[in-house]
Amino acid sequence: MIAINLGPAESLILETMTNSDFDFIQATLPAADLIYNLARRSTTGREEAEDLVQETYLRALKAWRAHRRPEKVEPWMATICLNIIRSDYRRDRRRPDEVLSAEPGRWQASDDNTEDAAFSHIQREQVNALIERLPEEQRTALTLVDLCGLTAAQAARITRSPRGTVLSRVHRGRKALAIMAKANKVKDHES
Amino acid sequence: MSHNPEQDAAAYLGGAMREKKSRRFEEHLLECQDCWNEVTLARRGRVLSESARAIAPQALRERVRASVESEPATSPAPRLQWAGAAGLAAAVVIAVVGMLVRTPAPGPNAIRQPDPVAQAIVDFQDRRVPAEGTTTHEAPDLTEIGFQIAGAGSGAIGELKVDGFAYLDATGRRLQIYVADEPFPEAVGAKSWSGPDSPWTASAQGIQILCADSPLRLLALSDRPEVLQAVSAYLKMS
Repeated sequence: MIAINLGPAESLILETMTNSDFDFIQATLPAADLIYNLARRSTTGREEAEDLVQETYLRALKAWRAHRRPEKVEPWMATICLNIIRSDYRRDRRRPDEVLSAEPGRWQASDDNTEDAAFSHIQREQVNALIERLPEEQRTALTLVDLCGLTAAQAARITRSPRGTVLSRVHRGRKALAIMAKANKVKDHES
Repeated sequence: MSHNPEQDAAAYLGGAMREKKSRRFEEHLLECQDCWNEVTLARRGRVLSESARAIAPQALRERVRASVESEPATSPAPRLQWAGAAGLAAAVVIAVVGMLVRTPAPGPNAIRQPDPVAQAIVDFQDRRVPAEGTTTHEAPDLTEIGFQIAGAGSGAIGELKVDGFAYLDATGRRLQIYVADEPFPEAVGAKSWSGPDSPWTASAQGIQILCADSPLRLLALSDRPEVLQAVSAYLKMS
C-alpha cells in the first residue's frame, strides 16, 4: 500500500505511533462525532469545543495506556467528556446565548443524501438555536440520545440517573423542541 | 392499563415497553387522542433533534491523531515494525510503507462491513490507495467539478481487485474512487436509489459511500455528502 501525501504529517504520525496508541486511535476515532456533538452543546464556541474534544481524547489515552480499556468505547468517551465539563468547563462560566452557526458541509448526512441536502443549513441553525433553549437536563439527555446516538441505558449510566428519568427528559425535550419549532415555523424533513 | 400519556409515550418511543405491552399501547393509540398527540409530537421532535447532528471536522480528527502521537508515554512501549520502508523524502508526495497494511478493525460497536468496503473505509481514513501495480482503468476525469488526482494505484481491497484513485479539490475536500471489473459487495445499511441494480449509498464511521455499476463500476468515498452528490450527477450514474 502507498500512503499518499494528502497531509504530510499523517505518514510521520503513523511511523512513530506505538501499537497501543494505534489501537487507541482505531477504537476511539469513530467516536469523534459523538464527542464533538457533546462538546458543541456544552461549550461556548467551536474553538472551545475542539479543545474539549482534544482533552477528552488525551484523558482517554492516558487511561488506555494504563490498560483501563472500556467494553464499549462510545459511553466511555462520553463519560470522560462530561467529567471534564463538570470539573473544568463549567467553573466560573455561564452558558452564553450564542446561537450555533451553520457549518456548511459539516452536518451529519442522513441515509438519504438528497433528502439531507434539501434540509437547508438555515433550518439546522434554527433547530440548534431551539435545542439551546431547552432546560439543561433535557438538553443533556437529548444530546446524549439523539445527537450522540447513545441508548437511554447508556445515557442513564453516564448521567447517573434512572433510565426512566432519562427517557422522560428525552421525551419532554423532543416535545418542547417540536412545539418551539412549530411556533417558530421551523420545518423538518417530514414537514 | 394505567393511563399516563407522557410516561407511556416516553416508554413506548424509548423502547422500554415489553412487546406485549407495546402492542397494547399501539392499539390504545388509535383510540386515545392524548397519547396519539404525545407520540406524534415527540416523533417530530426526534426528527428535528437528529437533524442537528454534526460531523467532527477533518482538521479536528487530524489534530486528535497528532496530539495522541505527540503525547509522551509514561513508559516505553513497543513500536510498530515498518519493514521495507523506503523512507520519506522531504515533502515527498508518496511514502512507501512496505509491510504496514492496516487491516479493517472496527471498534467494538462498529457494524462489520464486507471486507472490500471495510478496507476502502480504512484506506480513506488513512489516505491510502492500493499500490501493487499500475492502474488498468482510466481515472474518472473530475477536473470540471474541481477535483484533481492526488494519487493512484492498483491492488486489492478485501479480495476484490481494484484500481484506486485519490482526489483533492482546491478547498481540501477529499474523494476516493475505486474502479473494478467485478461488482462491489453492498455495504451494510446501504440504500438503493431505485432497485436491486441501481446505485446505492451508505454511511459508515462518518464516511459517505456511493456505489454504481454504470457508466463505471465504481465505489466512491468522501467525508462530505455534497462531494458524492456532485460526482454522481457529473458522471450521470445510474
